[in-house]
Amino acid sequence: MSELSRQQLIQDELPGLEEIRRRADAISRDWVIGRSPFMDRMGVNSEREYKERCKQQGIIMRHAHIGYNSAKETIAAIQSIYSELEKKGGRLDRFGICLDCQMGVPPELRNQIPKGAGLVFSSPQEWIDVAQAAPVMVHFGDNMIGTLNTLDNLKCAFAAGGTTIGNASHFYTYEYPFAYDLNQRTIDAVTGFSIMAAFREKGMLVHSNLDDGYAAMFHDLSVTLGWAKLERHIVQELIGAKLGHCFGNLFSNPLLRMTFALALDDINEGDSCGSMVYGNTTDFDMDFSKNYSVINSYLLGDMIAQIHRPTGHGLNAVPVSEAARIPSPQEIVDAQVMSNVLEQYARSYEPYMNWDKLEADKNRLLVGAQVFYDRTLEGLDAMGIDVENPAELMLSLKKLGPAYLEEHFGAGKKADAMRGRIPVWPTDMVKNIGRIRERSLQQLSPEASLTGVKVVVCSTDVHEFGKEIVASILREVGATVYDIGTDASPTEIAETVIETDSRFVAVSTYNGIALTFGRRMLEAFEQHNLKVSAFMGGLLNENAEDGSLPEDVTEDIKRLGILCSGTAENMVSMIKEILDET
Amino acid sequence: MQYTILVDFGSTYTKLCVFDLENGELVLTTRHASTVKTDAGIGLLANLEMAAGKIGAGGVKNARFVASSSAAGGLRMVVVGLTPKYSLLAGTNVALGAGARVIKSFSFLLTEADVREIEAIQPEILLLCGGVEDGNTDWLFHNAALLAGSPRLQTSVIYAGNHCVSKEVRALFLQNGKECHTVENIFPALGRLNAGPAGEAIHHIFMKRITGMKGLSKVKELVGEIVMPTPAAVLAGGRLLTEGTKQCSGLGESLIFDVGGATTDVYSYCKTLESDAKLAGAPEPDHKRTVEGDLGLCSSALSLLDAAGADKISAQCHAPQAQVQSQCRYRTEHEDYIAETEAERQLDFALARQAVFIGARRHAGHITNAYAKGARRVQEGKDLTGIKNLIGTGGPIINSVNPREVMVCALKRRDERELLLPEACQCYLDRQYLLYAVGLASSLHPEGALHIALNHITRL
Repeated sequence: MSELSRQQLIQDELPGLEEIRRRADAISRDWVIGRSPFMDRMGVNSEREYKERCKQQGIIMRHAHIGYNSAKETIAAIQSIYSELEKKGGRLDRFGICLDCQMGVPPELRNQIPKGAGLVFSSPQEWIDVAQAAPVMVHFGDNMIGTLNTLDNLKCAFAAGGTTIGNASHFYTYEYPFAYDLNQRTIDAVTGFSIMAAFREKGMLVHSNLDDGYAAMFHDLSVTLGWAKLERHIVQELIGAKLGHCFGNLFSNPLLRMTFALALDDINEGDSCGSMVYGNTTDFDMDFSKNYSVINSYLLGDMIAQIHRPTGHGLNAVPVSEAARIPSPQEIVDAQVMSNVLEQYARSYEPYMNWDKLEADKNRLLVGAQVFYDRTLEGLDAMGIDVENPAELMLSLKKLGPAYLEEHFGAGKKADAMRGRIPVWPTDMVKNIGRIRERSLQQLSPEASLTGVKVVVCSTDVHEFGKEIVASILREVGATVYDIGTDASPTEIAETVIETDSRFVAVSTYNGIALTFGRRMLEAFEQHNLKVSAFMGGLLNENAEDGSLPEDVTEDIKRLGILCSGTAENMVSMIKEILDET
Repeated sequence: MQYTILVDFGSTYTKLCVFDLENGELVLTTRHASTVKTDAGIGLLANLEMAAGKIGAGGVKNARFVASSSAAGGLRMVVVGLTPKYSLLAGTNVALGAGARVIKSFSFLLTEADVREIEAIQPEILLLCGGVEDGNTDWLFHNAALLAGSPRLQTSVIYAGNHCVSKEVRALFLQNGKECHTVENIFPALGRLNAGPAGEAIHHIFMKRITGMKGLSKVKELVGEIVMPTPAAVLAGGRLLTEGTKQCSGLGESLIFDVGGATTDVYSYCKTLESDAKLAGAPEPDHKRTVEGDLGLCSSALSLLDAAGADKISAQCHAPQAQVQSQCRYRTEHEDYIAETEAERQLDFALARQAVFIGARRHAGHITNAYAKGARRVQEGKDLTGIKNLIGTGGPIINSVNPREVMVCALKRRDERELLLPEACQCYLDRQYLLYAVGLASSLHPEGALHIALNHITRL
């Protein structure tokens, strides 16, 4: 029987681009782009026009994210931040508005989704009110094109005068807790991009945050870059809209950020119009004083890259408190003031950088990216997918998923490794696995042995990294590891414990559900009277009841009786202790 | 030339096919009302007489015989696993694939009440499984001890669990006077299904111990051993028709519906595809059978009506609900019922459509949309979206006023996004009840059997 074929990926015929363009024209016939105070102040008709001016004049754009959950609070914050910065002589060009995940579905379905931390507009007028709050450009990035509410949200953003609108990444990764028509979602996404294409000459820019999509799920950075090229192929080359990429949380090394920025510009053939570069918040600590060094480190690198090769990206000085709570307006102001001052130092560093080295690294990434890009399109073509039809292409890529794409089309040499290849340029996460594994092995006591001890290992989400580290260390000390992979459920864990007769469970979690998952897992153990010692690690956080930001729940999890060892080597010691006691 | 005579002893009919396998030709199909409750030999001899009329007494005498049986409701089994998602799912799939009718399945630690229920069922075979290799033993012992200690349970036990304790488990049953066969672990490791040994053991016990018909010794004299249950023969026939041979392609990925008076059997032939969804639970077999004991047009008509909804059936056949209800009750009380009037045929049509509709949905897997950033979709059950063909067999489909309309009820509807069913397919009809015969002949002469199937199972 055949391997993967078109029929398995595309069950319903999807309309071609011309048909979708006609739909887009009919829908947006009477749409107008609203006029924002920023446009008046800068004498431009769109943010893109301003970005091009910045590129020509060597101005670095500045970005801040606003994450309040009511329009009223958002407007007040925008006005307060703008006026404070004016007083201090600082400049801020754009605000990113974090729309809530509820905004990604039509109003009648919103009661089926728990309210998140973001903003939910209650009327089209509120979109306009937020955009008009101050002469700072508003960017609508989250839960826009690619969701289940693409066209309504896009219309509101147009009316408000938003001219940079997301998000080419969300279609692939954002999901909903009910069955929906994926074909219609796909058609609407292509329609949304087609509307953006029709208004391209008026300055409309499609934003894609690589951190939010498949790009963040690859193990090889060259594949991440190749994915950015694929997104560009679909949105810009096929559909005709202008695409600007955003990145920031994929890696923390400032030199690598510079290299990646250069590579992205090459993919855009020197004609980049980037939305923004997000901050590196993965290195943030709960101790805010340490976070100043993180901000300075990445921001300096991002600025030097912009000075060397301007791409129009707005740079984001993330407030030091962001990992712990929604930053206050004052904390946003403080970060922006620091960013304004830092720029003068960045300008003095730029001439002394080893650009030849960075260019060489960039070229390595580009070669891998091109291989992935070519192999993916050739592979889809071989399956019978019409690679000139954006809807077919997007739906196929979504159904195949990042692991399949990287395994089958990645650029790295085939080997007995995660995803079957040695990455051309391992992502920070992959590098960290090796580093942490080595460190853990060094710190293991010589008598550490868990020969014959059975442990079930899994993760609650798509991330494999924490799970891989733990599994690898446990195998190293002789334990029998039952790896049930990613996206495990509490029932699945309990049933695996029963079948394997395991006494220990190690759960890695990164998707903000640590406490709830821990509770449900213990309930599943209790139901069958299983005597299991459970460990949880990774990012142990979750939204508090009525809270709007994930909070650390390590202590709550410990109170449930779940063990939080922090490191794999500690887990080995703790398992030994438990075994010795019994 | 030697003919091959394929015989099936069913509850309603004893069927017979004569194949000329060397030339790939169907010579004859016959059927006679089943006599398994009185003397199975009577129905067989009546069929053989008809065959002799076509190929001569010498042709019958020199023919090679292969036979299957689903007499007395088929091979009745109970499956006991440790967990629903793993060993129980694996065990149930293997039992159904071997042609059994799984009356009930149990998981986790058995209770005394569970054992009483199994005693009441008195299955012909009990499949006990669970525990990966070197995995659980305590729960297995608990379950084995309860079953072995039951004074009223008289059944053949197949143990296909963690091999580390197979000797001890077998000893437990033997010490309590119960037959126990041990085979390789059905679920030896996470992500692995080892269906072969347990399936063979089921067939072996079936051949040696079948008691579902009277006059078995005379039957054996004429046709030899009953080699497999009818559903196993149909599964094998469908596999040949779908996959083809080295020399000749088959139809490709297919779904077969065998709707009968008591049950609806669904068979699927397709591989598990790689996709972005995570596969949860034990692996699904490439060739899978499910049997729905509540979906039949005669003895199960009332339970089918319940499952489908009397209002729906009533609307589809334009008859008052009370009338539909009483007609279904009448069917359950008359095993030999055959629709005669137009209104009765319309009720047949509506019931058959619902049997296919519900059977397909129970057979297919589904996708759950995990709601969390960075989580994938999770797939449970078998993905049938790659199925290209629907094949119908069994009286209620073959004799339906519109067989195609019955079969397309299997297709996914627009509002069923989470179901892993195909959305469009070609339809084929096995008008002559050939699939069992093709399956019985598939190991003797696959090329010839396939040729017959491709020529006589026709596209609609």
